[in-house]
Amino acid sequence: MFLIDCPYCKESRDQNEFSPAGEAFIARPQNPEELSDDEWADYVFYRTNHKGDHWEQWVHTNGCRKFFLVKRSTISHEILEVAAFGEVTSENKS
Amino acid sequence: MRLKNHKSDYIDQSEALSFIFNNRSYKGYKGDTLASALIANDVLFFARSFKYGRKRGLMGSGVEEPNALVSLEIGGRYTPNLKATEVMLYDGLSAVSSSNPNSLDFRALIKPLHRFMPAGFYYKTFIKQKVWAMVEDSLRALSGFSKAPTEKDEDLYDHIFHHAEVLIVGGGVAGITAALEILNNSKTTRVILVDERAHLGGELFNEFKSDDTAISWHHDSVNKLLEFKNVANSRLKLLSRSTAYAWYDHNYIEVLQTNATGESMVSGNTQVARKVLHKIRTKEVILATGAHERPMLFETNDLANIMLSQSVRRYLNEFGVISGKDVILYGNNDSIYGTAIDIKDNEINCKVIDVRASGSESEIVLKAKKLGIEVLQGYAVLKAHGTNLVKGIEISKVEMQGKKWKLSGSSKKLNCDLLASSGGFNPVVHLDCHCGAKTFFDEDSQAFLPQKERKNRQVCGSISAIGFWKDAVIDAKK
Ligand SMILES: [Zn+2]
Repeated sequence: MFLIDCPYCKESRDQNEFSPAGEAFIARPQNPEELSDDEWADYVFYRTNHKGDHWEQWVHTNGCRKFFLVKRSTISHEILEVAAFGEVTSENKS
Repeated sequence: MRLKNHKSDYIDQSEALSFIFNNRSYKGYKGDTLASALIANDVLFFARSFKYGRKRGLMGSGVEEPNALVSLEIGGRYTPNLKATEVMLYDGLSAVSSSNPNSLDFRALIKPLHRFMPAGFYYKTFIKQKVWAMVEDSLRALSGFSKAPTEKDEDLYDHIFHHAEVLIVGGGVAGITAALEILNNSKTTRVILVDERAHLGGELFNEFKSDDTAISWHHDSVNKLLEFKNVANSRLKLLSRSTAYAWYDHNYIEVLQTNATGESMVSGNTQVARKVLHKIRTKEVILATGAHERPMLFETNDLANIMLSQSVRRYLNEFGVISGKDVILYGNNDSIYGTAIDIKDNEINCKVIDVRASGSESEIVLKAKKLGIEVLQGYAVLKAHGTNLVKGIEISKVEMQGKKWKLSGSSKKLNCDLLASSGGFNPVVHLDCHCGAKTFFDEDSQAFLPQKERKNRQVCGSISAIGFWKDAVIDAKK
């Protein structure tokens, strides 16, 4: 039931055009073959499940089909910020 | 019974409608609800209670009604679990109580054994003995809900999307004022006004008799609204007989509208949707949902003809019907005096029992006394007498000692055939709470009010415990 502003289409569209794509800023390990099973599991499966403002990825499935970043409050579901990849990174995110 | 010489803007006495309820036929008028038409025909029992099968009568006059569940029509037009208070009468309507109060009921026989039947008796007993699978069907049948439909629905239903800047829920004084205020102050804002009843105005018509300014205000305001509505590319949408029942994230609200009568509209070649689901996305929501009355509590207060004061008043003023000739009003606030005055105006016996002690009476209390209404102050109702219908009550003097009520003196009996009570008003905060808003308890109004600040949402009128209609106008103008 969300209204999401796609940063590429520059339009507010209904949630059913989009699909969620998990927590943002999870970088793929540089040398996967050197990782222990625990470290690999951590990358593949474990997420912070954060309560509060949360950066996540969405994809405009039935629109431009591009992935982008959304900062959403997991309490009120308010969307606080949307950004294209690169505009916000794990270093400069608010 | 229906009062002779009663004038109401909402009842068209020139158009008699016949209908069937529990296999008997009756007559009502255009503008009646099923409940008001049945009161006019002296039908007072609508259901049975679950455990002992006690007969239940009406308590409210609208969506707050807990007892009068009915199913409408048969076959492909069968609709279960409607409230008799919300079903508008149409010619040829047929309805059946969800739990028939007139049939013989074995539960009445076990009532003397109530001492041995704790809460949840049926479920607990039968689950323990592992016969649940055998008895489940018959117990479910007792639960007081209608049977599920078995045939395909013949009617047509529709859904529409809307986009607006402002959605106002509630078309009473506060909602009307807020809508006009917004439309007047902006040239572009689109407004949707949603109201549950067939006519705009909420509870204001109760003031019509005593307050001419209420009539003119209502007339002017509704006309102004219609002016906004009846132009090309109107910015105003009026949805009456509609309930905003769900509020989802990012101000997405769903409203279910039932057509004028709720009647099935499959006839001849034209087919009109019987119900329409409005899916509304809006920037701002204004809640003017008002308040529901709560009853006073005492022993056996579930007898038929123990009702809410404001509902009795609405039946009287809007429909010209009342279910008793000897009325007692019981409450802890001034609203019961308004009802008493209206009842007295129609030359029906009434008494007022006020829990509050005498002293520092407001204007309306003095007015009631002046009209010759017997007022007992500092009394509480302990118990209601009667087998199915209330026949009398037991009252006693009470006073507040410290923080507790204490009885003083011996109790005495009063006769009555209708008891209307008011224990204050509960703001209708339900919709606000759908999307995570909290309520807080307000000591002054003794009620849970919606949280003060919320993004893209405002409240006005009696949802924030404003009682007097002129105050609601001022509140809504902010
Ligand atoms: Zn897009």
